[in-house]
Amino acid sequence: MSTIAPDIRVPSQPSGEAPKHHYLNHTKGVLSWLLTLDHKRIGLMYMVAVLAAFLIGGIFAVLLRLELFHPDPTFNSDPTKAWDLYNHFFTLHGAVMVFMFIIPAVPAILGNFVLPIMLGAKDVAFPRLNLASFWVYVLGGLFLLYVLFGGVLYIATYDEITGTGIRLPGGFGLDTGWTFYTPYSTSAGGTQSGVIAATMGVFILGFSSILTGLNFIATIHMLRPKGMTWFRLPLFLWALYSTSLIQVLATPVLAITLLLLLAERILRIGIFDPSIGGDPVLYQHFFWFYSHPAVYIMVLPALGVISELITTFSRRHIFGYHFIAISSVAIALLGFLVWGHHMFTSGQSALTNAIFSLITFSVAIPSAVKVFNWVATLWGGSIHLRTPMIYALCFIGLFVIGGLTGLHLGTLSTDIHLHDTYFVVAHFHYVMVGSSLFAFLGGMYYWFPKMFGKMYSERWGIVGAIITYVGFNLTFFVQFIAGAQGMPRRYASYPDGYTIYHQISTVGALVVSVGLFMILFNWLHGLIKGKPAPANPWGGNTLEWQTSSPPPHDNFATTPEVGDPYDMHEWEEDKRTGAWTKVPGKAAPAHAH
Amino acid sequence: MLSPHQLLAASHQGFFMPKQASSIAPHVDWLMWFINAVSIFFTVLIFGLVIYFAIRYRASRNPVPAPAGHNNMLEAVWTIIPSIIVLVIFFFGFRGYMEMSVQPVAAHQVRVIGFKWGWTFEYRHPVDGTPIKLDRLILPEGEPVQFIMESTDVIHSLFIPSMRMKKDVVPGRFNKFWVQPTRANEVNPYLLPTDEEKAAAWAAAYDVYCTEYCGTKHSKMLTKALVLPPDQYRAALIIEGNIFEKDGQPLPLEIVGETLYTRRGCNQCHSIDGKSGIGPTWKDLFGAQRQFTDGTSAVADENYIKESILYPGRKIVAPYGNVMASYLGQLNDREIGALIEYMKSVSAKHQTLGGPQSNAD
Ligand code: HEC
Ligand SMILES: [Cu+2]
Repeated sequence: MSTIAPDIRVPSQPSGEAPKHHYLNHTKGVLSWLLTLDHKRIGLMYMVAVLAAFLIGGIFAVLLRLELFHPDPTFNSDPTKAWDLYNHFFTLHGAVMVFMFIIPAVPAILGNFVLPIMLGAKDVAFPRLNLASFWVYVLGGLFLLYVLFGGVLYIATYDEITGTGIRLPGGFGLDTGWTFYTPYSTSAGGTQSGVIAATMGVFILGFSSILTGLNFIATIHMLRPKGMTWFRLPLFLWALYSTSLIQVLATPVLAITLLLLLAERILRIGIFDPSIGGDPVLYQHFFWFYSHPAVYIMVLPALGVISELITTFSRRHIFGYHFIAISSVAIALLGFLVWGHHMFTSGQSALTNAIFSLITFSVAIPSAVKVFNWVATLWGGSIHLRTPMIYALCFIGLFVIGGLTGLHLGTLSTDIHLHDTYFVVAHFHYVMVGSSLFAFLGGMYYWFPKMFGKMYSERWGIVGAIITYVGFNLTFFVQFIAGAQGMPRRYASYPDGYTIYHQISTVGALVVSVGLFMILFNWLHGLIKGKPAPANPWGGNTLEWQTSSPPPHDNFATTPEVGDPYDMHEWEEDKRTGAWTKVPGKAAPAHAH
Repeated sequence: MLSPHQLLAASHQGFFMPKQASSIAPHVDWLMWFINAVSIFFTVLIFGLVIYFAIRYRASRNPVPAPAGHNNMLEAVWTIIPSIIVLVIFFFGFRGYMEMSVQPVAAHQVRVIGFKWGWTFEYRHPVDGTPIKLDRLILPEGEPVQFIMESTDVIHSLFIPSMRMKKDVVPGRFNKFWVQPTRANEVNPYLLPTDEEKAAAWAAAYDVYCTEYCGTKHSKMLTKALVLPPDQYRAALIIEGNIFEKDGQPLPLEIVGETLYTRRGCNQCHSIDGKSGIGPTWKDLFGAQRQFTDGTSAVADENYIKESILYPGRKIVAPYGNVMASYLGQLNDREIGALIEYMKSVSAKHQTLGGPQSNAD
């Protein structure tokens, strides 16, 4: 049989001949999407929901940059109203971006779509749980947005003469920042405070990540096909595995915090509120015990995506596979031990501060080594500068800047000066937005042909990436300087001396918006008018490239053959169609030296 | 007197970091520049390599990639060198931090009270030891000063960029830090005759910010730190110590009240021009009928005002929230009396109630 039948392991779906039957047209009707158990469709539904959240978070980012264009109030002639609005804006921006965009972006969209295919499985271990996690996300997201929007609506419609505004039931809004620090969060607004409701929303969202995390862990443990040993797992899967561990272990702490807040509120037991005997700094410990690992939830999957992109487009085996794989897990675990570095100025003891500072530095090393591994992979490669690769290279730049400025903040004496200034704002935007967002966008472009069976425009893809990159640096690089000069964060207004930094930053934010819309249009255009994509447009050797684009409902027509995920030498490009096909038995290139 | 919130913050920005004004600032900045140098080196190295490789090894020029690489030596080097560098950085950071934390035995003491949205700095009178409360800092050049800080409401954080010093001000506990200012401000406002000149001199003093988010006016929780040579520092405290007198002459109580109104931060929430702010305006307050959130009402007389200042939660004026902190133990009877006189002086209701403005008490 094997001699006559075409070898299905080596898909030869040429460009222009999309498979007739695939997961997108497997069944029809709205319900076949809303209630689907197919991980690929769930991934796409996540894509719509998470991108909608990104749009909302982004609009508020632009609004708050506009308010800061000038030290005087912009959105309301009454300064206190303008400041209140600003405070609600940045809370909304932060909470939506962190909990509804960055945390789910890579794992829930790309992870859901890619993980089972990369693994060589038909689906995740618990498809129903997967669907549940999506709807829990939607529920939590709507809940959180309702509460936050309620506040903005109220202030925006507040009328001096009647002394009230439009108040949605329970929509009290929140102006505490995404960190919800007590006692501000529990005292402000009295009974009219949205903090419990907002924390509840975040908790529901957290539940969604626990479910996804559990599912991914189970899938990777249980559904690996024959031959897929741990050290044949693609690095993206190692990253998702580590991320899932954090999601499952850290998110419950958020639930505990919520329960304690409720207990304090309802039973008046002093936990965080000093006026009844609590300790507000305890809240910070709880918060960062979840939220610092959450930073790794945001960044680890991004690192995984980048490892895939760099190796595929360099056509070279990733350098230091074992190190990168193990270091993902190591970073995930060490990430649990550094939360105290958010509290160097809170009055915790000098010894505690020193220990947290030291452990923080220990996380820096594996991150740095990953960067060196990527650069070494480029070295001697055969580099194809396609759009995803442009994102990967931009990512390295942003991650390097974000990571190195982490040194300034992890160092005790310099952090005292920089803590809670724009330096911190710039640092975490480089890491969370620069890195995670660029990896997400690069990953979207990379798997776009697989998701939709269509190609996007390469030229506009690159232009969009470069505009976003330039805009991003324009927005945030000056913030390092503003912060070093002392500009505090979360200021609705500021001393005149900082005006120039803010103006450059605001202009940058507008440039980023232009870039992001170009990306969106490129995707939509590709979706509607794009050329049909070949099964393997990049010559990658991970398993998702061994099935058709888009994949069939069950992912693979036959069980794929598992090998070294980064040994790509058997794939050959057809220059005319851009499709890569496998030539089994092709000799590896000879050693050059 | 102008409130510091009305002063424009002067720019003490230097090259990359604000001009140094404390004994630890040079240590912090030295390390900051060391880390900058390390960062710039690695940024240039990695950007350079990435760009060079992207061009040198582009597919059209290098169609056949080199085989999978492996180089133990290289991997050891790029793990060990960064490890050494971060250990060095950690060590100097820790050393600098210990210098900040261990305060000299003998130091001036300032009690700091953070509240929404202002600061009270409590000094001891250099001669008789009575407390002096200011809304801005005066610091002696070349002598260590210890800050003992507490908050009456939420968490704030005291930040003096030029002195590279910051510490959270947490309700329910005392946080401390110390600084030794090194660079006196050029002009001493206490030696200047007119209010405008004084205001300009204050504007040129060092900026002080709140850096822990604390609500609506977080970004206006600004004040100033004036550094003076030790003898002038003492003289300034003596002048400030007596708000009831000027140049040896007793001041009318409503003038004293006005000083307290700005200096103790009542103006953050109460206006005197009729505009409603975080709290009700004081214009025409005294003598007016007050409506409370629990449905009751009362006329604003001396007792009511005093109660409102000491126990603001007891009667909450509609439609405001219970956000005012209690001033129990913060304002003495004489000061409350002065504030009441000031409120009377801005209330038409009081005059219409008849009788000459009383200067009793
Ligand atoms: C954080 C804002 C804030 C600050 C600072 C503040 N207050 Fe208030 N104050 C309020 C609010 C809000 C109310 C109305 C609610 C209430 O009665 O507690 C109020 C009410 C009052 C009242 C009763 C007013 C009335 O209309 O009946 C008096 C008197 C008063 N404050 C005096 C002072 C004095 C004196 C100071 C400064 C030493 C001061 N307040 C500082 C917010 C503030
Ligand atoms: Cu504050």
